[in-house]
Amino acid sequence: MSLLSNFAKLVIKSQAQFHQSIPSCSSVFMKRQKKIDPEVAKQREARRRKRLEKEIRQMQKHSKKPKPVDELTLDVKSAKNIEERYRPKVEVTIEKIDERAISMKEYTRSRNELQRLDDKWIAGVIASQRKALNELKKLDPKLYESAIQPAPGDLPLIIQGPSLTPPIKNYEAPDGDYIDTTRNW
Amino acid sequence: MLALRVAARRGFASLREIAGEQDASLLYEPKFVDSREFPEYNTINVRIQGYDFGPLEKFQSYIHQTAKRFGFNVVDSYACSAQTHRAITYKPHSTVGEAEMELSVYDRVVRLDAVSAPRLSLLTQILQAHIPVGVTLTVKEHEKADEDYRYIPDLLLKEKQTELKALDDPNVRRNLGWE
Repeated sequence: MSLLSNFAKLVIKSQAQFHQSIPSCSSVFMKRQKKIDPEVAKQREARRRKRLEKEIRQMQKHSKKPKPVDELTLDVKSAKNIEERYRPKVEVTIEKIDERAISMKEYTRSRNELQRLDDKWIAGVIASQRKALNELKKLDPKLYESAIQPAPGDLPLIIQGPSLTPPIKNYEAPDGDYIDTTRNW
Repeated sequence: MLALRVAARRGFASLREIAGEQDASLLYEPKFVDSREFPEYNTINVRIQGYDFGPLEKFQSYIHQTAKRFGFNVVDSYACSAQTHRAITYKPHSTVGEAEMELSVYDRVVRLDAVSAPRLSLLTQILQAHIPVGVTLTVKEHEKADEDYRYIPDLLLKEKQTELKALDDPNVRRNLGWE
């Protein structure tokens, strides 16, 4: 009896496997199809290409989704209870307001001064570069030509910003690791 | 006809005479004058990365302003999604974690156009002088990969594109019975 039931299971199983394999037979890479009439083939190819191109066009229209920039998105959790975290309004005396206004003006002036220095530097450096290149053009046109060409060998150029402190003497770095947790797309 | 004869007798200038001699090549098309002083780079990407995005954004706007002062064209100025790291320190002589910290490296890009070649080094000089603490600045030529990096890759679309490409493959065509 048990032998028979085992046999029955086997039959069912093999049948199930046989049925499963049917859809994958339709794959292009599985089995060579019979050669068909070239006219029909041409028609089919054109139809298929047209369909695919249309689908691709449709998808390209809607598919461009930028990766989310987390620091610029609204934090929903904190936005919900924002009412709880408002601070009481501070009464500011007139002297304080004046003081703040004066310091704000001083700050703006100082920034303006810096910007003016920058602009002066830029104008000066552009003028002197132009002058130098003109001199070079008079001396040696060949050298001038090579001087004004873009130099793709210089790129990519990587500049590191300064560190917060100068190097600390006898600093022993702790034993540790950086594990990359960037989201994979 | 009469008017022409009258004009000729009185010594008036015809329209053609007023206009003067014209270059034949300018008859149908205006002359496009190339105002570029020096050869130019293709599009250039200035990418800044750092752990603090406040100063980073300030610096991004500074790059934008300064590039305009050099006469460059700012095509785009955008934020990319940050790279995140988990920094772990271990206890001495073991692999047991002592402290853990989530760090993100924020990412901003300014894309420049019409960058005249000798001026680029001047821009990088002034940027180097102003770069904030702990910020890395990368100047490179724009590639398509940089643009793609901004977006989530669409697998379905890629699949369709490879399928379309596969139709040119003779093996696939034979299997389909087309050849």
